[in-house]
Amino acid sequence: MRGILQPPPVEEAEAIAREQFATRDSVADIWGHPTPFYGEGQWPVRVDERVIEAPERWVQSTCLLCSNDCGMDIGVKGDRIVAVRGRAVDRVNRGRLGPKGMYASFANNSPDRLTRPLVRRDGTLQEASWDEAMDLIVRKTKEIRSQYTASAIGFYTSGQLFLEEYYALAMIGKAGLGTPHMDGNTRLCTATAAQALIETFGSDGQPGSYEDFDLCDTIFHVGHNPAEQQTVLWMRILDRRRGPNPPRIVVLDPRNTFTAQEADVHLAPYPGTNVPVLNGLLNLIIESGQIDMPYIQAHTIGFDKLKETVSQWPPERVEAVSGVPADLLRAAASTLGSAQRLMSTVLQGVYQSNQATAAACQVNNLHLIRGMIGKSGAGLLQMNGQPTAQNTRETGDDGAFTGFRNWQNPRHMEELARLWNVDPQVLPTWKAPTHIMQMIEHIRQGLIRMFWVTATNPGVSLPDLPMMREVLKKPDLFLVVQDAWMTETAQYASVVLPAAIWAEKTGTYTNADRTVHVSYKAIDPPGEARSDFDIYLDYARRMDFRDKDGAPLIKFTTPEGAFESFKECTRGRPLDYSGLTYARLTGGSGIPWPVNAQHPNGTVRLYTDGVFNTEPDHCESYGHDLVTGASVKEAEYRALNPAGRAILKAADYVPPPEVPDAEYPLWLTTGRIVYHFHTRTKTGRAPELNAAAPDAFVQISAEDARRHGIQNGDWVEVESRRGRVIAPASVGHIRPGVVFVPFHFGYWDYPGRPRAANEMTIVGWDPVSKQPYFKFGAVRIRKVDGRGLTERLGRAAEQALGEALGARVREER
Amino acid sequence: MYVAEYLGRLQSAEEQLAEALVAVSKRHSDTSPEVAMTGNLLSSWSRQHAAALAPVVAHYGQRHTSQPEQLRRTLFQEPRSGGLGLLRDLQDTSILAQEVLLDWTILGQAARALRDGELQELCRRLGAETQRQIDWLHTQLVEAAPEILTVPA
Repeated sequence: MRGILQPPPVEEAEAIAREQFATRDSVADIWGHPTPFYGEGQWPVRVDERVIEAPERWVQSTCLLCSNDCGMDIGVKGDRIVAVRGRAVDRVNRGRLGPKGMYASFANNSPDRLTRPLVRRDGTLQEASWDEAMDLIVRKTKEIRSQYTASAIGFYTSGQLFLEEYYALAMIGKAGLGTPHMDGNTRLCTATAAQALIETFGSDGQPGSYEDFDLCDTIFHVGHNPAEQQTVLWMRILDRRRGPNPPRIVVLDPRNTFTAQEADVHLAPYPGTNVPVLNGLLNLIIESGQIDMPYIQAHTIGFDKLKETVSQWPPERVEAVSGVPADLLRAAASTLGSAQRLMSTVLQGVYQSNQATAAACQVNNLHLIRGMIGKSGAGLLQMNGQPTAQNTRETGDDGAFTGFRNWQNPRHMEELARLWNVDPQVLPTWKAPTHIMQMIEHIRQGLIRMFWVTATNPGVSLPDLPMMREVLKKPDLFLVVQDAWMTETAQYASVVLPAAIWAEKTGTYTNADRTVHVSYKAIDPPGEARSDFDIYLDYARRMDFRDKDGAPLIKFTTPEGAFESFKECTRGRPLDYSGLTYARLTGGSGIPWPVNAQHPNGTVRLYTDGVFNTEPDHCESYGHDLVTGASVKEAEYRALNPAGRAILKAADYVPPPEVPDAEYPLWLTTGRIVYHFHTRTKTGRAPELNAAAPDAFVQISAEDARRHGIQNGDWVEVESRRGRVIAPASVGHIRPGVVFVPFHFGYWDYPGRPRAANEMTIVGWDPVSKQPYFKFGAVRIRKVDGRGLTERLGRAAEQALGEALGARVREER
Repeated sequence: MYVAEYLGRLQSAEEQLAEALVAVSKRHSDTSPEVAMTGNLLSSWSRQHAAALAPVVAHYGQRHTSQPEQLRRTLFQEPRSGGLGLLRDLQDTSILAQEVLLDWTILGQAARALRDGELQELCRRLGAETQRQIDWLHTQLVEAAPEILTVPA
């Protein structure tokens, strides 16, 4: 229980720290001044702030620009954000902020916010009143529901809303309408994290804690680039590296990222080969005997099968398939095998790649066979990408049911129906909640006719954009887009609802190590913009959703009321929030769940007793075949008799569904850069970040550059079977045979040429987590003539992409 | 002794299942990439199963039967498309897979009576993989059916 709700650090130290480090240029100095340390709870305070004008008041909040969720205060003058400051008291950041938080938090002030509802009339979006817009949505909902059932209605949300908003929508979708079609863009970022945790440990919930980095002796970053993704977590790791007893770092990534540059051992496999590499590591570690046999026997099932499966992967075979040299694999295995306190993190390099869930589970297996779980300095985080991704999963707005409930367990569904006072038959429990790519296919086939998109931008972030644009502009689709800006997706909408965002509304959210924070409203939203919470509740009122006694289905009217209602859905579940209140989250640090009578101050790490959530009546799912994705049936699961033991699931290698060939000889992989988030809706409106990273680029190795006569800065066309991108070359820091294009860049601020990485990505997904593949695909590259490029491509792009950019003409519906 | 009868039947049934999986994958690749991807993988399992029987056939012999092929032809008379077509294709593939599983079970029983430990192990191991193919088909059917049957296109 250490490190939670500690008294605020000495004010003097805080003042000195602020004096020393305030308002650094975090574009040039991404991670800031080092504060070396060693020991749990010993990370020094360093307060980062950015003050444009002296604030009149400070309001407690939490940064919303990556999954770290750093404690942050918002400085307000009049009705504008004029400053941000890290909260010294917070366990997550101890005062620090990264470049995205320091600059993009001011995006609220940008002049191009949506301020009035828009309704498509005569083919164009025109301003309307809230009554007109909401009445139209309600009328269309009722028409579609009566003609085609509620299964013709789909909701697609985000990793950006607040817990209370997701929860309200979960009630609307699952108990109000009863549609199985609800997902979040968390499907693109953390679906595999949730699924891998469920398959191994019986339920979602990160076993480890950020505090484990304070004490660990070895760190394994698997397809995770925290130096760019979670800059503040990386500060913590760098501070350990600069302090006494620095941890060793092993990185698995095909690119030589900032994270990889810090590594002691860097494994750079070909895209799509994580399972062979991880199986190879497990094999070497088991062979060397560096495993905790008593722990395996007492707390796991499935070891013999795992051992048999990984024994097929000696280092030489791993090298042949993955390109990772056998000696390097041995070095990594020796580092991981000799660790006394091992901390691992996993992210998109695994989740968005081939055999995502299977690979992520092998990292769980590594920790289990070494007994490296549930103790200080030893644990793992199946990381999240977005700041509130965890809440999408907790509330049931994605592949889950509210409170980590098992949709295949009738007792869980009856319990949820009781909590919401509805007939259990109302709940869509006949299938797994529909994943986004299946929803897109349903729209394509005319099965889903109303699609409500909130705070996400599928017109840039989903794969195969040429196909995606065709789907979004289908004439028989009633498309509602709820956002703060006119995104590429909003251009296609039938109705656009202007949303209030972070700092303009109150609510809570939970980060990648289960820490729950509150964020208070600091300023009013612009114009007529309303919070997502208010919009959903307004919709529920107008739809007149009722419980089984005829009372309104949604009884709460405030975010705090929603939080209290959600708490009851978590009582006794692994994510127990019942001991939390807004009051407890106010003034101090965020608190990691579970928080209940047994753990009144929260819980730093799970599974300290080696008892997992796999008991059949308790678990979140009966699990899946990691290779085929087939569901395990309840009877089979009971026969396994997991009885609170973790499940070691093995998987053999299956090659990716698309590999380079003669026509398209190179691998494509996509990913992020430090200065941007998602599709740049906020970060692109921060002048400093935009200046630091204004455009897409094509990263290739020096070898491939030579072969194609390409030099740094040359214009390059990358083409796959789906589409193409043209961007300047960036040569180096990537393994030969692989091309990298960042996924952030779309068209809202630059319609001149095709530059969204997803023009090229494939339509396919992991059979277990249903997370789309963004990390592999086959492409070819060629140098293109740069002269007059913008002008020429400007015209061509106008024809090809014009419809994507608002010129679309569609019958008014 | 009719072991050779069943070896021929099983080998042919696996080949027919492989063919059906490939055909179904190809037919629905545009609308269901997941069926296409995993269907192709599971088809390769069936081809490997048929090949794995070669040493057993060398020992016990094999009598060819065209019955599995007739079954496949009867089930898949015309190419189907759309959601309903996908359902029918998955369901008929399940029937072929059930035939394969029963063949493994029956042959496994014979292996026990013959005290042929190697054949027993083969039937157990590959039969378990057939069960995984069936489980996958079942999962796909269960997931797809409600929308296709109840929502008017």
